[in-house]
Amino acid sequence: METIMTKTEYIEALKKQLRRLPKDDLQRALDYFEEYFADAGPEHEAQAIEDLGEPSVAADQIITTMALSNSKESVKNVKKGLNAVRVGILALFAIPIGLPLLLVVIAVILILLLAVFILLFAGLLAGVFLTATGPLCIIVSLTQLAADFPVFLCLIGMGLAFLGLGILIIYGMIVLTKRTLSGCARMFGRLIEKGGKAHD
Amino acid sequence: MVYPPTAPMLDLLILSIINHEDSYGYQISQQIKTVSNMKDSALYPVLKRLADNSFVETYDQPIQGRNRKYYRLTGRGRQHYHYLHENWHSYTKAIEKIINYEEVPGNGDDHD
Repeated sequence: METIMTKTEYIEALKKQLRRLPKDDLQRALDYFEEYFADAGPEHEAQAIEDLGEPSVAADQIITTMALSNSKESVKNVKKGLNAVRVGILALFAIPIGLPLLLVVIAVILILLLAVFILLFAGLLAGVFLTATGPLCIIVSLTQLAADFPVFLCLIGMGLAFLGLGILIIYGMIVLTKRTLSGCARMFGRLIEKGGKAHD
Repeated sequence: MVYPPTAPMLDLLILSIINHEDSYGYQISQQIKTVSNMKDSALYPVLKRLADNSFVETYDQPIQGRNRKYYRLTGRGRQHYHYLHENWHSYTKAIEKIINYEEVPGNGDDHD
């Protein structure tokens, strides 16, 4: 069994388990536990540690609760969405897993997600290049203005079309990324709820 | 404990404590302890969830050179408290009926 912990060791252990959480969430959680110890008083430190329970269990509960509440919120921006997915992945690892099968399922899901995000990124790149080609075409068209009017018209038309299409693709990719992120967060939430129920 | 509190029951307990008087983590833990053997660390995620749902909000109160975070009910939280309280009331009434062998309504005129 373990040796008796001190408050500092407890907080350190918790911090280590929660280190991958977004910074302010980590700080809020640590503040709560610091305050709990302060309210319990140094003379009741051992009792406080006993009452709080294992830091690893505490950390898992914090992570799964965060992932669950993330999964019920819609993603407002890409950064928040990425945070939600990060917490979701952490939470998947926090579910008590007895079955290697579940691990395989999680691995497959993560690889699929990776593929989806690579596709989204590729789409975004295509959009960016198309958008960049637009102005280039327009500049080239200007050189043809005096020489060959139909070619000028053709080039400027192509340039505008590229520009428009490129911007449309970039916009589309951002929307798709946001949707994918909130979809992921929701999926993690459902997995966690199921995992929790299976565990009960 | 023979009857561990379920999640909504835990919510009701916490909201009731805070409804009675603004309270802080350690104090809430001490009260929850009398009806549950849940570890005190499990209270933090519940309080966080209640705050995320805007049922409770927090404010700092200086005490002995440090800050203590107090929880208080929001308007939404009070509504949710009443909702849970009513449900709890009808639930326990129905339970009591069964365990006290009271007459089940509609039992006198069986149609079959």
